[in-house]
Amino acid sequence: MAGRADKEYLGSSVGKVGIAIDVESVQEVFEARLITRLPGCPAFVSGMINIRGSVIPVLDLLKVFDPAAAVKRVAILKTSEGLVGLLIGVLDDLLRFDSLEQGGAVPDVLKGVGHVLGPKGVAGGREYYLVDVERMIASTLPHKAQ
Amino acid sequence: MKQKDLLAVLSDCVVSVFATVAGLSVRLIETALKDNHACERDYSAAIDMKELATGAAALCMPSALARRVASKLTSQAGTELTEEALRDAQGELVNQIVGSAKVKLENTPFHFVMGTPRTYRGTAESFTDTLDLPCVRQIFACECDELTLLVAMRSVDGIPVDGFDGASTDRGADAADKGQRGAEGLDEGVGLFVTECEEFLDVLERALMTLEKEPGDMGCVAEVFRILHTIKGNSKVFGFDKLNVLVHRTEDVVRKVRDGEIQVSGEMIDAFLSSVDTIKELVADIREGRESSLDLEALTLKLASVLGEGAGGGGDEAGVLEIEDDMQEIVDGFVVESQEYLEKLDQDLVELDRTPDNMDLVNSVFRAFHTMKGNSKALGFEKLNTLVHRTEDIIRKARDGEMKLNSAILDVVFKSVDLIKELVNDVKERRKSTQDFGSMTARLKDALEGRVGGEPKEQKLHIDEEMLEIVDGFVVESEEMLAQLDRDMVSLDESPENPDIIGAVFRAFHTLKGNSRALGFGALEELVHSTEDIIRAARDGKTKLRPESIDVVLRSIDLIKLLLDDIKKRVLSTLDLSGIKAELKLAFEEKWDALKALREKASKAEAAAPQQARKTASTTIRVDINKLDDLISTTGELVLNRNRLLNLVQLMEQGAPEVDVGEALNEIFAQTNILVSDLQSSVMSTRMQPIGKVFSKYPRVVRDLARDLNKEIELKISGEETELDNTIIEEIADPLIHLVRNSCDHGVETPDERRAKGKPARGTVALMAYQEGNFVIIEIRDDGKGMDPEVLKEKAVSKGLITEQQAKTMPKGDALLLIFAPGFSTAEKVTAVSGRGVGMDVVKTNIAKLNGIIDLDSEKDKGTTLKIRLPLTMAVTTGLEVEIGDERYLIPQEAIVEIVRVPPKAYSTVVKERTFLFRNQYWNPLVVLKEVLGTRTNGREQGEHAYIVVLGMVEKRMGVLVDNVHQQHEVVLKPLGKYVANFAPPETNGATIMGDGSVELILNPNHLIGLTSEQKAAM
Repeated sequence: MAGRADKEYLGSSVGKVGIAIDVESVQEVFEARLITRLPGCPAFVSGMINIRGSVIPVLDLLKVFDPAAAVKRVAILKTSEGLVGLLIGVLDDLLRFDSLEQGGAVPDVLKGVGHVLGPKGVAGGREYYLVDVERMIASTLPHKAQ
Repeated sequence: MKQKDLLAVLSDCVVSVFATVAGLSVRLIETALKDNHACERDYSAAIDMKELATGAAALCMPSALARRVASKLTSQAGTELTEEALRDAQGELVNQIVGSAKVKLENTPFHFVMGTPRTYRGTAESFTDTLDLPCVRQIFACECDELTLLVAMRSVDGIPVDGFDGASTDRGADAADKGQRGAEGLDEGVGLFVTECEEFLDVLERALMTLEKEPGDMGCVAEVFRILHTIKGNSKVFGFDKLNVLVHRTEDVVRKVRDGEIQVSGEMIDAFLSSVDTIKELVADIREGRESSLDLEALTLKLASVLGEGAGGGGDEAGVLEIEDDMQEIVDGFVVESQEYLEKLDQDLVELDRTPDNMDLVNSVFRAFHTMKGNSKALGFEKLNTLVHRTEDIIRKARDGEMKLNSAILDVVFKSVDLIKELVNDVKERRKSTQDFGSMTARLKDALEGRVGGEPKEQKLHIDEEMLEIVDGFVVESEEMLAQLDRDMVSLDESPENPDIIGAVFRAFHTLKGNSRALGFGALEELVHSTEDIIRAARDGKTKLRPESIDVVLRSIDLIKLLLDDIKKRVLSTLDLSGIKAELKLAFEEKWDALKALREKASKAEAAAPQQARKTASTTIRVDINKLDDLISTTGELVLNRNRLLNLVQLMEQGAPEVDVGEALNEIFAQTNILVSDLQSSVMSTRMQPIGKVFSKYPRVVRDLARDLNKEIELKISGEETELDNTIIEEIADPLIHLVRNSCDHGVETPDERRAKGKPARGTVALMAYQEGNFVIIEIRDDGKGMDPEVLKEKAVSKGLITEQQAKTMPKGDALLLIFAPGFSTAEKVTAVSGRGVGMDVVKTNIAKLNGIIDLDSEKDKGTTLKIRLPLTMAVTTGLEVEIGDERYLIPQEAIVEIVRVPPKAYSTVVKERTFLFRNQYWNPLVVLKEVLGTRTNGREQGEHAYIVVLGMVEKRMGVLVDNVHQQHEVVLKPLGKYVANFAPPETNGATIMGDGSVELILNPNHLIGLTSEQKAAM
């Protein structure tokens, strides 16, 4: 499958594996110091943060939340459910892929989001799995829960 | 048959046909005369075209010949346009032309024409007296490059036609004359018909595009009807049956629109345009002389569905379904199998509603429909087949991943399955289906194309950009006028001859009428005009206003409001105004009996139809100009303060030692603090609207209710000027109406009942609003029969809402609040007004959403008082910051009664017992907030105090145990957002952003208080 050389992705490492998010889905990457826990929500909802006066939920779908970390990196995603933050790990450069390939086994670290992963590409010697943001968010909503 | 006889018969036939055509052709002749510019130059000045065209048509003269005649006549100066002159001219010309044509046609075979030939072949020799031809229908004359007036005949079954003998000029001329007149006329007639059709179709298409934009344009509808009617008539004359049938079906739909029986819709316009396209193709076939191979079944079905009929045109008549003997068993088998499929479909569809992504289910459902479709087709059950097919299309789309099934779409499928069951049952009972499935097919089509939902597709109301503001202003002004009109009409009910009120009402309608006319809102203007007429007659003393006429005017006002609503929403109104117009007319003509009969009929229909909520949230509000001035002034001062800060920063950068930065900053901060508070108040106040906006509707509501219930009720209103946030006002309107209606329906007794109790026959409902601190209190008080707590408890026990034990210990206040429990209704019979048991709990929920609290007091036979306490505004709240473990939360101040300190030694007891002693008087339940919120860390050290924040709602008291309390904060409420709303966490109302930028959650006191009831129940 040919990648689109003009399409850029936000890359982030999850362990030794990378995930790539279409940069057009990303409003910004925010470094949050305080995430306020939100009772009454599922565990993957880490809490709420303040971005310039708006209260945005933050999800930990990649299981990268480290309570001890002074700064938590949040990718603020533009979705049909409004702005939603996703906790991400180490930020890589913006990526472009010459080619993408389908299938393959989902690495253990990404098992939690395996159902919303797209094809994978290689950049800088590392494999990145494309994440379908809308599907990912939709899959967390109550009526979609299996 | 001899040629002579045949020709005579044919000529007569043709002449009579042509005479009909000629009657239609005056216009065409005139047009043809004018169109020919050369002719115009030659004789337009000398001859009255219209007169010539009329004379020519009377002589069945084709337009081409008419032109030649005109030209000939103008060359003979002084010729009058008598019939004789025209005939002579025609005769001369015909002879000339036939002669020259004959020469042309020598050695060319003649044929009789069957149908619509474009070309002819004939020879002079073959046209003899010994003509012997079967089944000749028509004779046509065809034009060649010059004007040729000839009979062209084509052989049938290869029998040569004896030709035209040009030698016997008289007979030939005579025959040619007749034949020519007839033949050329007929072909010319067809040609003219085709040309005319093509012109009509262009006009028709344009008219349909206009109708699509302005579906209420009855002038346009009439034009469309006229055109179709003309084409229908002409096609009938010429025997173009296929065309005739299609045009007739289309005309039927337009007739119904013209007669107001149905309304123009998007689907209808689609069907019309398809029809126009097909008519064009049929006309093109006629022009090309070929048989049309078009299949009109689909289009006929489309037109039928628009008309709301089953397939095959108008409602099928009930009758026996004939099945041949050898097919009986097969049909029975089909019925049994279909019923099994349908039963399984019922179950599968219910399951599919729960799990719409279950592809196995989708496939199974698809297979069922597919099989039924095939079987019904094989057995010739067309209606059933069509319905199953349309339904299968939806499932196919879902199966192919092109559409997601949801409840709305499945609802349509369910209904279709119900109808399919009925059709199968008809087959079983061997009766012809009389089901109307036109509307079902339309709904299936809508579902397939993603337009589900009960609401018809709304067509946009186009308003020019420069007019938008004017229209908005018109809407706001009109709404105010209508609110006043409501009140005035109710006053007129009391004093129908009051000239001041009548004058005011008339002026209001008059203004509304003028404004709507100026803005081009025709339907609105018409309705207002009809209403105004009644008031004018009263104003001029020609009539006295009776309750019936006031009723009609009030109903008209309701519809005017709905029309305004549509304008506000920018949609074309689909309201059926025929009913109210008829009522207004009868009221104006003082035909009271007829009005009563019409009203009764209309009421039945209204009772059957579901109530449709047509609430449109307001996006504009009126703001007092003084408030805006305050805003501008405060903003100006803030800017000055900013400049002071800027100055200070610059001085600091310059290192000016004489400046005491700390002092300067303090001063600027103090000033900014005041200004920001002022600004905040000013902005908030722009959203504040007087509650009178809501109260103004109630005189009308109470009046209508009183009439419906045969009670006498006086409504007293006070405190209309009390201001509330606009959002709250809009949200409180519905719950308040319900409460007022309840008071009227269940509170106030009938006059007889009241007299029996020694009360005045007229009951009172009082509506009050006043401010108390940061809250507004709305009171609804009636002097009716009150509520008996014991009766309420008994009812609650019988409905399983509380246990008998709970009923025994329940205090009066709690018992009264039982009416807000879901499913509770003490009405002995459900009236149309209230008592269905679903209203009060929704009212309570809606008021709770506004952070409001309800308080209820009642005494048997004395009355009931209901108080609603609402915050002044929802945007800002004051909260007490509390600490639980590592986390901090805010508790809204209005719910807090007191804070109690728990000494260390009492802590474990309090936690264990889950109760606390309030003011050494009452034991109250306690909720440990740490457990409720799932706070993991326990920040509380041994030996530290803890705190109980006592929350109160009405008489209820309860406490929440927290580790620490901090200060009060005035905070801005922030919603948790769309994503979080999916989880609807009950513990929190929202969030706020604190001074350090952190997000802090605001707890929901109603939920916390509710937890103690659950706790009690669990004990």
